[in-house]
Amino acid sequence: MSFDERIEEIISVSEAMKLNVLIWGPGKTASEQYAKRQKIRQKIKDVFVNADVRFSEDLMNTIPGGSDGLTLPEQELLHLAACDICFVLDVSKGAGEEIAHFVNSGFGHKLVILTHEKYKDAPSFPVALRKYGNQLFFNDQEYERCYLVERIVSRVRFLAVGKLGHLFM
Amino acid sequence: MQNSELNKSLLNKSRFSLHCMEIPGEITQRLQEWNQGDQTALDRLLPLVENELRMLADGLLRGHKYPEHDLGITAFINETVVRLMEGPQLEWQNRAQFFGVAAHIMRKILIDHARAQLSNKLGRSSEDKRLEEVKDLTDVGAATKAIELLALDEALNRLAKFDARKSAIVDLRYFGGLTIGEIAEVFEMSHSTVEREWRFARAWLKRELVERPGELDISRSTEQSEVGVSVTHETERKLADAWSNRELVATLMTEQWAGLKLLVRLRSTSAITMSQLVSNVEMDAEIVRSLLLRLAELGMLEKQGDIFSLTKRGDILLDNFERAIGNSFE
Repeated sequence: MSFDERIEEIISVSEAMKLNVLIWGPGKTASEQYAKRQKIRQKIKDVFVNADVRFSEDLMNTIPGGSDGLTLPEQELLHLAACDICFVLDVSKGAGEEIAHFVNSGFGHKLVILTHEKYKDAPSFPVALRKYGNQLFFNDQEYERCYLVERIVSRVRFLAVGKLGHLFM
Repeated sequence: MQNSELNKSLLNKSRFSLHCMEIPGEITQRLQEWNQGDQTALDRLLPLVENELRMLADGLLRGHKYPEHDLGITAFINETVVRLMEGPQLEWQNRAQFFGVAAHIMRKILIDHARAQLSNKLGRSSEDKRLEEVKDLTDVGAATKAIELLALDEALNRLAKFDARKSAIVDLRYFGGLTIGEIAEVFEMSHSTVEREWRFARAWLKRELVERPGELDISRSTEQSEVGVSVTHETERKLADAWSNRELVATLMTEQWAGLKLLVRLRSTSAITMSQLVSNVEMDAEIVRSLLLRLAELGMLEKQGDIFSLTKRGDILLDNFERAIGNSFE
């Protein structure tokens, strides 16, 4: 078999990989942003057929052993611990501060924060996130077109291929 | 010449030399005279290059979007000339080299300035600085822009390691604001060659800064983290590891998986030179060179002189891929 055929195999196996993906962001009341989250979820599922792609609100009160007594952030932290990657649609000023405390939780490296460029200078997140590519910025045009979704899919692909090579355990 | 004397000299010259036209080859001739130790050649050189230096400086100060510089254009040019004179003795060859070096020095001046401003903003005793202490958002904004400039500088330094001319083209085009035609003239190259090299450099930088963001010097990481919320060393280590792994995957996948193809080829040959590899894999030599250096930086390859070989880590990575697909690459 040729090298290209081997590459096809790598792509196929990585796209069939079981992945746990979280998408945090505005809820149903913010209809446009919620629709964007749905679009992101659908696109990831279209490409990575065995990926379990969840919104945080879908997972509330579903902690094995019971969620009683756990606050919302505590439940979210458990979700973060269990996932492979967590995309955060950070489209409103101040939203970032609600999740910034997860950065030092031990799972901060799983967060990929997608921030509108108009909040680029806001100090909600540590520069380290940006430095290591865990905070990405987009503009209106990129948000409206498929570019943002493509970047997310590309990020999941890096993760999946990396897992094949045992780079992400 | 003392700096103040030089400044006066430049200021005086600028009044009289605005319309000074260069005789073709004159700059090169003056540079060669300067090479030979003729200090008066510099006095004759400066009026010839002043307009271009001014154009470079203007583009740089307006173009880099760093809002808080307080450098006047004349002071900026003077500082450039001072550094040119005080820097290591170069074997000047032609005007292209001169303007390339000048643009590079100008970038360094701005970088030093950005670093100093960042340091002032954060303060020397800011280890415990927290979000609530950053009262003015513009402080953070300016610091962030300074960090962007530093990241770009470091990316350009990496580019210069494997292609100094492309890095110089970025200096002139992005920082200096020169058109493709002007750069072609400076480098005495064809318009299409400059355009091709500029396109390559831009794509390379985009990959470094956007798709493979900020590989800033780790020694300055704590300083950067002090802007806004800080991270623990453990978090930073995990972020760095994840970044490095993504960087590796991105490198393997570059140009239709050319990075992976090179690793496979290296495993089968044990050790090989870059030129042998180029003819072996039928890929663009520049792409091969860029990928090999990147893979070496990421610990997949070892470089000894001109010879590249696969490291143990690289070997294990290929084994893991083969196990995952249940097939061998060869």
